[in-house]
Amino acid sequence: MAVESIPAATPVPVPARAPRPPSFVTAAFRVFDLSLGQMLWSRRTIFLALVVSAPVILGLIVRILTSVGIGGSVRLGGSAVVAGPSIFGLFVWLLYLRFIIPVLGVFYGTSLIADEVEDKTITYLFTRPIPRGAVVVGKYLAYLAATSLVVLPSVMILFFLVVPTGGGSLAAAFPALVKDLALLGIGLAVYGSLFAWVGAQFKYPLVTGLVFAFGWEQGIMVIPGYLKRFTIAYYIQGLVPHAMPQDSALVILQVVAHDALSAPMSLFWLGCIWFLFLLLAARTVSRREYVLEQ
Amino acid sequence: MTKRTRYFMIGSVGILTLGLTVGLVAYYGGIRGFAEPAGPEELNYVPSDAAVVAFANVRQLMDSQFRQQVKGFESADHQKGQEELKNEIGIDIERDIDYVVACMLASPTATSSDARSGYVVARGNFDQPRIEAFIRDKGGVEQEYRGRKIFVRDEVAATATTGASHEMALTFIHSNKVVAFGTPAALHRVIDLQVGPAQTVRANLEMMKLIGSVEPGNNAWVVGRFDVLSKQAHLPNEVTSQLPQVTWFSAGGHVNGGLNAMVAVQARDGEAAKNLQQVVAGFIALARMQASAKPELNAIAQSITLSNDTSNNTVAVSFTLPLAALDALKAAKTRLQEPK
Repeated sequence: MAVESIPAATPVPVPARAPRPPSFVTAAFRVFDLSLGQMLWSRRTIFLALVVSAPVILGLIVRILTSVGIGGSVRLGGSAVVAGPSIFGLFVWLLYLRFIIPVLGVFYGTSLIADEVEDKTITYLFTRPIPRGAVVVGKYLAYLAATSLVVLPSVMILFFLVVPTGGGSLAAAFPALVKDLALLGIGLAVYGSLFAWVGAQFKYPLVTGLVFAFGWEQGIMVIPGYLKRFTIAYYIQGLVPHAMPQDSALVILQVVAHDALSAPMSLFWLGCIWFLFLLLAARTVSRREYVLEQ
Repeated sequence: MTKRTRYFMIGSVGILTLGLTVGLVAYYGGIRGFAEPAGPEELNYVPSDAAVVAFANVRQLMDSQFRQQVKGFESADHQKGQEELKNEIGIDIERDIDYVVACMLASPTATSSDARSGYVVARGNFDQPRIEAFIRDKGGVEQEYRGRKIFVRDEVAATATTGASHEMALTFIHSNKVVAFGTPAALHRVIDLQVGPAQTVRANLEMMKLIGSVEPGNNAWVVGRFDVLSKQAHLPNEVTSQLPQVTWFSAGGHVNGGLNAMVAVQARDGEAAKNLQQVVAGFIALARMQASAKPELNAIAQSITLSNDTSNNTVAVSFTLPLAALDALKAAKTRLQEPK
């Protein structure tokens, strides 16, 4: 009887150890790196460029008007405005803080996750071995970098265009510029965090965001009472270094009932809002099951 | 990150860095002809402990349409006084003075009975020998302080009944161009600033911040510590007891076709600012109500604007006096003077 020899067992190839998934910070940075380019060179950037170039064009007009000697007839808020720092202050308050920052927050913040869902590309992000929260944080940082890199230089150009008019001093207005830049950065961060959560939570985030920014915030700010504490504009107002014009009888009444917060308190509450909504956005994306419609 | 994204980031950060660098250099010293520090050059003759600093661009004020209108209100004596000044020392106020800087020196502990000290620095075109000869003719004594000439006119005789000495002095800082006149002690401070290593008001950051905020667009302004003003004003105790809540004041005006003016006070804290704002808002409402029946005052009352800056507890009131309102006031004055 022939005995068949059992062939020696061939060594079973040991699978190579799977690479360790990146840490939260590394993952967030990778998403940031990927998203920044996408955000900067998207069609939305044309809108962003138009929005931030408007104050610069207005500043150029003011500069030309004052150069040809008709600056004295420039009127804002009902009274003659000649001094460059006053015009700059009004531009920052009325155009940037009350319009551009909320608009950018709504359009970019709500699209952080909603665009990926709409384009049905969110699956590609979620199948990567990275925490879902890191996707939100990375995209949020990309939003912050993209908007800051466009908005802040435009404010800087506006400052040098407008402030020297009407006998204004660049040196004297410089501390206010630094505060304004910091304030705009804070505004972009807080609005972005709120609308990132809106984008992750609601089905129609853009409409919800617009209603909040230009319905609720604008409306409730003129109504006396505690409700204005549920707006971001209220806390930003507490940090504004420029005097805000108050020239109507209605506003005189508001002044009597005025209860603006101190700067440290405003900063504290803005920090709380920023942290809370960024956390909520990350948590919502981590827990939510996104069903992509066919 | 793509190349064009990187270039975009470098460009944006470059604009920000360049802007901040230029601003910072301007803030800490200035770039002559481009970004100079706030205030006129003559602030270099104001010491760092000055309690009140004021500025008036005399040439702009004299040339303004507003001034031409106001001339109608001036008495004949006033115009005669200007003529005398022109004949005696050759100074035509309407043309020869470019601008003036004034300051008041007072210790924070000074009382209302303490002697006032201060001076005015004027830049313009002056006939130095003629002015010096005029002072000598009028009994002025020439003195020397640290190598500089000062003319002092002692007016003890004139104030003998009160026992207080009231000396006035004058010194030329730049021959025929810049002159300072005021109390002798104050002028010694001016000379100290010229010849010695004394600190000017530019080193007083609080004061310079106020000057920087009130100077742009205004051709006359004043800033200072409020305690000095209240002590000199001899106000009732009820009012004075409320005033320590106010620390600094500033006022500025732009005079041309009309007058745009602003008065601001800085309160000690947020609570004081809030109270002050409410009081001022009440007064404005009252003024508007009172003025509604008087067309000549209504335009002024409606132009009053109240603003607040919570970041530094400042309450400001601004108003506009248009030329039309001045005409209306003139007409009202004429109506009052007409015999019934």
